[in-house]
Amino acid sequence: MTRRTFLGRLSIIFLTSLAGLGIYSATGLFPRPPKKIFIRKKDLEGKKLVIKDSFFLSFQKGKLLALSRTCPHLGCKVTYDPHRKLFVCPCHQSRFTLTGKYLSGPAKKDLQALTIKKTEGGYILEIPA
Amino acid sequence: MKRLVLLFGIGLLLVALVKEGLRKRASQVPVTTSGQVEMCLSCHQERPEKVHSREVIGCSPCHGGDPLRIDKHLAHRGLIKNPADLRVVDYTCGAPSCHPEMPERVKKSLMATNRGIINTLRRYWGEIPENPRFREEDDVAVLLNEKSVSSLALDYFRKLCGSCHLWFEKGKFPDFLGEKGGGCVACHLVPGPKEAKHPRLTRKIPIQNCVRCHNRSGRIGLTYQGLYEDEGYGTPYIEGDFGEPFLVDGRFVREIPADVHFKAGLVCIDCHLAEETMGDGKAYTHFEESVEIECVTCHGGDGTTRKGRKVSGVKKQGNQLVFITKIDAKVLPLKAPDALKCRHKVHRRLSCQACHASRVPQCFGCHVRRDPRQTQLDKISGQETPGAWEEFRSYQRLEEPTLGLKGDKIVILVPG
Amino acid sequence: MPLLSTVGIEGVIPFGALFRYLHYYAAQFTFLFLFWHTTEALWARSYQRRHFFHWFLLTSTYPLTILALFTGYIVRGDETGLSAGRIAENLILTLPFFGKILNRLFFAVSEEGIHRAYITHIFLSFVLFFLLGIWHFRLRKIKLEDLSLWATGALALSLLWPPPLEAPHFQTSLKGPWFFLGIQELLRYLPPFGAGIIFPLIPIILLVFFPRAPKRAGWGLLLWHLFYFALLGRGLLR
Repeated sequence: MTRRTFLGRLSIIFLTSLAGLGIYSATGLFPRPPKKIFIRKKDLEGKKLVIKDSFFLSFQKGKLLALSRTCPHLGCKVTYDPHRKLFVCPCHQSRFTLTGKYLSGPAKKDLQALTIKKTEGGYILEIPA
Repeated sequence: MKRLVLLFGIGLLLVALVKEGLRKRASQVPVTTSGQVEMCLSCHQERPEKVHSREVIGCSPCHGGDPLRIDKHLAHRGLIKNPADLRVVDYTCGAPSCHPEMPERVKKSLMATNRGIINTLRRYWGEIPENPRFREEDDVAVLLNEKSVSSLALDYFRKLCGSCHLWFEKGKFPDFLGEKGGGCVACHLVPGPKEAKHPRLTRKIPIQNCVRCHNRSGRIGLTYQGLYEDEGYGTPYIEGDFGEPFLVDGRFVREIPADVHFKAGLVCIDCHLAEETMGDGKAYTHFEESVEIECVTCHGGDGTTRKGRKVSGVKKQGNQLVFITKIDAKVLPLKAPDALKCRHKVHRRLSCQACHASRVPQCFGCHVRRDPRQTQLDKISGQETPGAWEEFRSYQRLEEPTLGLKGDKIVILVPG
Repeated sequence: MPLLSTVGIEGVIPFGALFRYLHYYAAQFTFLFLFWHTTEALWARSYQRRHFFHWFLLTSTYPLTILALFTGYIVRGDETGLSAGRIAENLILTLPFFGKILNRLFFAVSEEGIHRAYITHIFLSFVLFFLLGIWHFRLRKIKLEDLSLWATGALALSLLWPPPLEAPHFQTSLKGPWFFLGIQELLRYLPPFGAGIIFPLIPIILLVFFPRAPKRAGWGLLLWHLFYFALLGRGLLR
């Protein structure tokens, strides 16, 4: 083997690994911990429904529920229909009750309930990674 | 051919240049405190009241439109002039993060349904059975959706009564009618200061907002203020012109001594609870079922109404009960009923009004006429339809009321 | 927040709105012309004069162009864009092993917002432009006159119809990018993997293997497109 062929092969291996590393980092994701959100008890006073950016807080039949706004179908942000008093996904119109139960549409699953922990002055919500 | 199109293209470039020159751009992207983009704020300088301030709410959560655009015709698409109109209130005032419990309550209240007026009218005219049971269809909201008028009583209601309800579209009808209605703003809106360029919402509702509608029938809004709708001659004639003051709709009123509560500085909202005006969630047929305050609530009682709710103005100061007015927080002593005159057992059955209502406007000889040859404005549908109604009376008097028996109590009876 | 930039371009920057609209319409023209060009190339049987590997590379630019066009929608950062991004992310994740990798390469909208889609949009556009430019400029000289013609068309459209921008409010109905309305419609009836992965792959595979069975692939493409336009029509009418 000549020096030329050796260096040639080495450089191919090097460049391929570099490319591989590039693709690995481009397709990598920094693992994120679950997001914790604090909700003040005061902010919930007297309200049956609180709409936040990524979840609903629904107080129905004496129970407080935190429902993820990610539609179980394809992940669109589920919105609230004040007219019909239901949760509706704007992408394919899947409908859910105010407790997150699936009613109609391609979603076929209930809205994901997030874990709520009671704490001093309010609640702590966990949004999974 | 290609050259022509290219020439046209250069022309379009010039058009684009001019368009850009004429366009008013924003200096930055305005954002509300919640992080929502609100381009409306870059052109509009209106300032509502503090609790709905432009920096926190912006404009589009109430008024709709497109908050992402600055071109007027794009930004104003879907604009709502009166966000409090009951037709849109679920999305605006009644939005989940604002006042979500209100729209349903208000839509069931008597000021929105006018159920008492419709039900009583139809019974009196023999169109429905006599027993005054609750009927779902006696509701302005139902009448709004009906294409044709199904009865004489309803035609009468639409043309002579149909402008006093919360579904009435503010600003749609001419003259003084344009001031009425508007959903929440029928009561809660007052003019704002000139620099604000925007009316203000308030909880200190002035008496004018109530009297806009409550100035007919029993004429409570007028009598309370010390106004008497008299025979209407407009006398005294001064230099050939009418010398008597008149209301916006042309009726002449004479000044008489006002109610003692008005003289003390109380307005309607000082006594009447939110549950009475905006409903308590139940749909009633008659106002006697909805109104829960009584004289004894404040005079003799501790501010608790017959339904168990509290009048907020009644407060304890030391070991005395006082009343604090809503508009200017005046502290007023509360007189308890006289032990002999009011509480003696022989006067047990007398209602407070039986003695204390010294003068009541009484309207005698009610006549109603319908002329089928003419048309009149149907205030529910907004159309001129055949059949013009007119009301007449024989005479009007301001006198001591007649007493009568209602159940076990001696009450006043007032025609008109 | 990306929406701030989009609105800033349109409302604050001088001529920003014009450039945004031009960019939008030029992109739509690119896609429509690609559709026309592919149809015309198939009709003229240009695959017969190409090596299969070159044909494969050329046809693979079709879905890549659509990806570049689609990521342009996502990076707007408005409700339509973000929803489109989330749907694309979840559709790609239905692929068994490559799903995760491809998602992180192109979308990852729920974890990182529009960041990856943005990089994809710019990177892919430039790569496609250079590579396709190198290939096509060898074959034919494109006259400035013709390009100006279509620029005029884009300019006329920009002055007449501003492209959409959807603000967040209580909307219960969102329409995705117009060329994907057919898939949005099909996703109501079929499971995501079928409607979102298999169904769009069919015309791509037919296109790649067209030289091997022209008649059958041709009929397959025609039928698929007819079905797709029916779905698109239904989606438009909602």
